[in-house]
Amino acid sequence: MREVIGSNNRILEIDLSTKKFTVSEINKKDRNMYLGGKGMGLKLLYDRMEPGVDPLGEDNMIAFTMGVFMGSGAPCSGRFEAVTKSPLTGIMTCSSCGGPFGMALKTTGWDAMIIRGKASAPVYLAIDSKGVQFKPAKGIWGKDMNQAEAALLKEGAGALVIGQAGENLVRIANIRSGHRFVGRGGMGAVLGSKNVKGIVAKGGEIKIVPAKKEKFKKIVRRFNKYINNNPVTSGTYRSFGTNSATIACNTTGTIPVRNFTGGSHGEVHKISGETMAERFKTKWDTCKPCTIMCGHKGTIAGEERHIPEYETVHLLGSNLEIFDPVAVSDFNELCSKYGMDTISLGGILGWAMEATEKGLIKTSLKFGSTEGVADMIRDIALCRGIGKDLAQGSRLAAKKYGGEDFAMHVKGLELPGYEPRGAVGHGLGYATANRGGCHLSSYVISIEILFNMANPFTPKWKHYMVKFMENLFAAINSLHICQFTAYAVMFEPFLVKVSPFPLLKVLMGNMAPLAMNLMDVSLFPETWHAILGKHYIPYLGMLKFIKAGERVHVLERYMNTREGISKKDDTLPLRLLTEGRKCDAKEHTVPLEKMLKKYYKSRGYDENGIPKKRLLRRLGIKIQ
Amino acid sequence: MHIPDHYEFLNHSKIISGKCALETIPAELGGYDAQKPLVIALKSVVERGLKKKFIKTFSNSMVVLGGIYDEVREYAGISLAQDAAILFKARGCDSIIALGCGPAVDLAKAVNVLVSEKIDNLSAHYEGAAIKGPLKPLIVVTAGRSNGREAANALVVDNRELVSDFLCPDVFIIDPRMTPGSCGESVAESGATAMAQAFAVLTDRGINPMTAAVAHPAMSYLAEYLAKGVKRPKNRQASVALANASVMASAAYSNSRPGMANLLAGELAEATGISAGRFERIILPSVIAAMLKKKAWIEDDLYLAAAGIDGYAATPAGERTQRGLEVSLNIVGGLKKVLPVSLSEMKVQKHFLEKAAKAAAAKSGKRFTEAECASVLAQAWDAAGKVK
Repeated sequence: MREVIGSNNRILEIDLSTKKFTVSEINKKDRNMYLGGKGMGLKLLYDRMEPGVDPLGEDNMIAFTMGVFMGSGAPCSGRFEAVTKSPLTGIMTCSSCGGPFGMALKTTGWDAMIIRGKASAPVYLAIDSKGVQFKPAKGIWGKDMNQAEAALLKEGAGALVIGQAGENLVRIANIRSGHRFVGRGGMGAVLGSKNVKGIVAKGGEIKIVPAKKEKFKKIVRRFNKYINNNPVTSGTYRSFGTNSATIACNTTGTIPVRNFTGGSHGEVHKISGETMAERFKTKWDTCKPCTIMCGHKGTIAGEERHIPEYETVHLLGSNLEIFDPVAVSDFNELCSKYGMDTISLGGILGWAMEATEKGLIKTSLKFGSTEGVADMIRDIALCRGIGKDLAQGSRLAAKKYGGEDFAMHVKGLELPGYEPRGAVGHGLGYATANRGGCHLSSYVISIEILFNMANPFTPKWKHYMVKFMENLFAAINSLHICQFTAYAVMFEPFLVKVSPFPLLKVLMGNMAPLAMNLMDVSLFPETWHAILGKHYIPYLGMLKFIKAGERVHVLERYMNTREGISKKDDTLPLRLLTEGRKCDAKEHTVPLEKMLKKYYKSRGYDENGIPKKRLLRRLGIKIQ
Repeated sequence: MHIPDHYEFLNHSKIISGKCALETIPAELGGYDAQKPLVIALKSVVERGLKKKFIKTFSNSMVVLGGIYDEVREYAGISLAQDAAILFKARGCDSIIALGCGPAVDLAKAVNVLVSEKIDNLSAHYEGAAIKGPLKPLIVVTAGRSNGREAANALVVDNRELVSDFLCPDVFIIDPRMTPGSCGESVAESGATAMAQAFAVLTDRGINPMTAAVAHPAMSYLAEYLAKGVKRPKNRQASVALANASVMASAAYSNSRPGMANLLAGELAEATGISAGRFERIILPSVIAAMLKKKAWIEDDLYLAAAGIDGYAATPAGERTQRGLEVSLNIVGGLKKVLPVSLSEMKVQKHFLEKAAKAAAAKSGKRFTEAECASVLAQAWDAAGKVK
């Protein structure tokens, strides 16, 4: 097996229309500025794709990009990124996935793959180190994800597949790799529109070797120590998965209930991570490699299934007032068979239940009842009956049938499982997230609720927290390593560890910029440096690392503004801005306008939310 | 004058315009034997302090305001209508006043249907059930941005349209204390909508004497006051003239067929979520440019309305069509300082254009082809039809 120091830097560019491929290279400057993963995917499409293309048309491109950490053996580094223009939102979408395809592609010798054009008939792509073969997908077109993936894995170490939802151009269709998904924004529909059923990478053709082996070993030890010492990454996540956050969120009124009309519910313990762990005898089932081990499987209804994640549990559970974990798991299984994003699906079903209640549409769906839900999921995936309209997402469904005021999306992307009236900074994060209603863009709720370090109801300094976390996460997603490692890296270094918690809380609440910038996240750039080595790239310090994250975030924003995004889109569903909730002693709404103004200013955007030329120049983004 | 073989015209709204128009509301309500109205107000109108001014005018009257529902924002949805209907019933109201234009009027019409027909939602009507009998009295106090639907026999709630002759408001109050705009942009958007509507009526081959009679003064007001109103949104004279123009254009347009600019703007507004007024401002010049190029025939009324009798009389008959189009182009051109001039400037995604052209052509009843619509949009994309 050939050894490669650091990174391959090879890009495979595939044109489906001509059935040809080309090979290009990631240049040093781009690697330095955009790191890899998310940043590199955006940069590659920024250089190649015109704004205004139809997301389901031939001109749209989809990029799969690996990070420098992938294949190096760094902890929690088994993640890759997909970037495209979303058919659900009409703007750029990036999605991170921990499935085996990433490792397979990277060890086949490719750091990135870009797909453009449209195949004349359904195909799947078989990738090896020499290039790509276009193979007819006759036998697997029309099959579900389980069957399709099993068929493709006969030819390689990792595969990506779409289900029937992707083939039917359902705008919330996702792509699967193993038991992990390229979930949000309808990327499955993009592959479906290109007549691509799947992609399989041979894998195992090269071996990635860190440039500084000894330093890398030391860093990995420190990394693992941090992860193993942190109460979230080694405690609750490891024991109960991401759904361990349920009880904390219910107590603080931040779970979605009844299409985001409430924030807590008395029956939520039935679907908590703790209950599921006990009831389904869960064990680990994670991305590879992983030290946190938040993914779990267990025995449900007599069969071994993946345990639903927090978002799935709340969008297909509490948001529909369904508190039966088996039913939630059934819905989750259907989604993983047909290939649909559970978050968006839950948002759409919540809208459909309320629209039915209000007489806007006729369905058998009802809050609190599982009746008709599974059938509706099938109808959406197969575009049957009203399912065909719901398959367009809640924004377009509400445009057709009404109910835009309770369609819970931002920029067309349905909201995840956190109710921002209980954590207003998280609400700002939803509004400003580049891909739409996304919790992972800044995840400020971790500071407001999970670590209890800031008052969740005050807008004070939330603009700064959102900005800092957006930059940090954009950088992490470009390395690319699991976002959850940030908690360990941020909170385990000596200075933070020994500081009394009340002091940290006072600092965070009153001097957030100081508190956040004092956090030592240098472990990330140090790992990068150990993998790539000094001979290749100038030393990436912590400030440069955060700046790279800022560059990635702003580039994505700039690309979106070319598609028409501006302040008018950085908003929240009306319900969150105007309605109080019964679960609150005192009525709360999200004071978005106040926070947004400060956010734009601190970001260097103009009052309409457009990045100023000065900012683009400072970050080295070429203005187009 | 040309006499059509057949025409229909509906508008039963009374318009009360000018000083102290607000003070006539009690008498108007009295005429309908009503004295406890529910006020449905636009949030933006309330924020501008107009609610206080409005309430003050009732101080010496026998009218008791049953309630003020002031949660109406840009979107009129059934949830709000249901909330307002509950308030209407709880307070024992007998009539409705819409304070503000656009969604406030749509919502007031929807609430009127709910309370008059004693129903919880509009699903039966969406499926084709007719609205029975006269509804409760509905008075509209014009203020804020118009969507061009206020005087029409239709409502749009949750993006779904209901049409019934009973939906026309009973009275329009145009009072100079309420009409001044909040900013030039808002005035320009309302003006662009009114302009596109009046233009569609006056250039429609199916024009009839009544639509022409109502659209004519609307166009005249726009020609004289639109630029002034945009420059000085607080100017009372201009704002009253433009409010009149909006109501008249809306009334005439609801009895006419939509023009190409209206259809295309509607499609793009639906695709992008941006107000149709902005698109109408951009697309109308391209439509006019295409008509000029094509030397399309239109009634002289357009030029008479836009240029006035002196200009009309001084122009040879053969040139009036072209001059009418040129003057219209200049009126829209006055909005370029406050509204975008091209679709590319508005960052409309190009792939929407093809779909919009196709949908508009389909809705036009073979009056425009897809290629014509696409060509207009292509011009509007880079503002090739831009005015001087």
